[in-house]
Amino acid sequence: MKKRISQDEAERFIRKASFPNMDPVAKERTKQVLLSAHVNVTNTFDQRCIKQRGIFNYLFSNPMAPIIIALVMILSGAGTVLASDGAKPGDILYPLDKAMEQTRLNFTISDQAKAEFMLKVVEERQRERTELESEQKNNLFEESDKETNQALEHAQEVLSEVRVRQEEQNNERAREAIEEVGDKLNELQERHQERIQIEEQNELQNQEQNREQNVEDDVDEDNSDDSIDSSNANRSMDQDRNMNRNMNQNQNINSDMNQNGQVSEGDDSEDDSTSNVNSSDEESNDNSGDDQDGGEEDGSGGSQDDEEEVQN
Amino acid sequence: MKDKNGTEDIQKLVQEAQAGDSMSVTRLYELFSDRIFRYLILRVSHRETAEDLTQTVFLEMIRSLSRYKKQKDVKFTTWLFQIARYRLIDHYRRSKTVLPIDELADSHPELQVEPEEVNVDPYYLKIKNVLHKLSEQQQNIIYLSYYEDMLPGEIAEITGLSAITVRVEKHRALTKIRNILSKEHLSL
Repeated sequence: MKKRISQDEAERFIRKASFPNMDPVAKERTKQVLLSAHVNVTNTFDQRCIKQRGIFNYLFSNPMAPIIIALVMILSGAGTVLASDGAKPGDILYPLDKAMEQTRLNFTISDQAKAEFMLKVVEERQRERTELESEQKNNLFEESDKETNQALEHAQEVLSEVRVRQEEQNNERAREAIEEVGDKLNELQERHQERIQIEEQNELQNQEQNREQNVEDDVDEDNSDDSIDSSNANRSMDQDRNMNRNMNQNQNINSDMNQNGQVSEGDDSEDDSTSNVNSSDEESNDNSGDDQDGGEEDGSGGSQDDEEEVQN
Repeated sequence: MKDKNGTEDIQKLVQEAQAGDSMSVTRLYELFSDRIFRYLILRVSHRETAEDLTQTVFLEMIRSLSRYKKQKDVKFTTWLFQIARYRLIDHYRRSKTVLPIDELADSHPELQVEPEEVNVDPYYLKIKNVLHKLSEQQQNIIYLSYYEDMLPGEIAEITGLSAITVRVEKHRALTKIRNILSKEHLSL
């Protein structure tokens, strides 16, 4: 008859057995093998990490690596933000500085704190302007003024919002504090506008001075131009005189030829008249641009020529 | 039967071994070598092969120690038995002449390699014969459950099964053992 074995009996049967252990000699031998292997593995790992794989792989195999990397990132990020705090217009970190201000404003909950923060922002814009002046970065003044104006407008907007909210809530103390901030802000705005006006006046004065200087320079330049013109005129007068002399010589030659060849009188007279007209025109043209003395000289020159003709 | 040791002590030893302490490695080997050896000898039935495999398992442990992290429920013991199981699978794959025990017992009884057992518990031989009639999976589950006192969840991590499957397979294995014992009239 088959005996039915219960589950408890089966379990007891299984647990009853004692399995053989490892042979002590073999165990000791294996231990030595493992020890030498452990030394090799440790050395190989260190060498692989430090020499072959470099510091980055060693860092990534380090369990502390995520913490180290996170710390470095946080510190570098915080460093950049801190560095951006003193940024001025024209700096690389200046947009970050402004973004951080906006973020801080967004995270400011209390209305009073918001108003005070905006006042600080305006003060910082003015401080930036002063620093630019001390560094003599004239090209950035315009941008700085624009930034200050924007900050003032923004501050006034925020202040009016906050003021209305506190009035609705009937929070007297906060309202008074905001009013105080508003007064300071107005003072800063007035000072900013005054400075801009003074600068504009200075600029106008500078422009006027420059204009006057330019006028004086122009006058000096004209004088120098006149002297140059007179010398040129004298030179042209000499040239005209030479030309007249040549013309008269040619006329004399023509008249000699007419006398000798007895050509028809009408044609000659026409030629003579034309030549005389031409010569008189040329003389008048030449004399018109020259001094009167030159004309008189020409006239005397012409009478001398006539006397020579008579002698001929 | 078991080298009982506190979990904290083992974790401390593991951390020291990870830091490169040879003494901790030696201590871990002393604590776990017999347990791994017993798990392996049940499967390969050959002392020297089991000793070689034990050495391989601990060498692998040393190489992989840097990768071991104490996660949520992964104990060092579980992790070490996982290595032992994989080395056993490798052993079966490489030595084509040596077939898995369950296959060997079922289909090739003439090829079954009997180890030279000297001064062994007669009960052990009886139980080994019974266990060898189970499937590989069931042998694993029974051994780890009754000789290593592991919970179904821990066995599931080692064998790659779900905890429910482990419970079901354990129940099936026990039923099978009961049938074998009943059939063969083995004295309890």
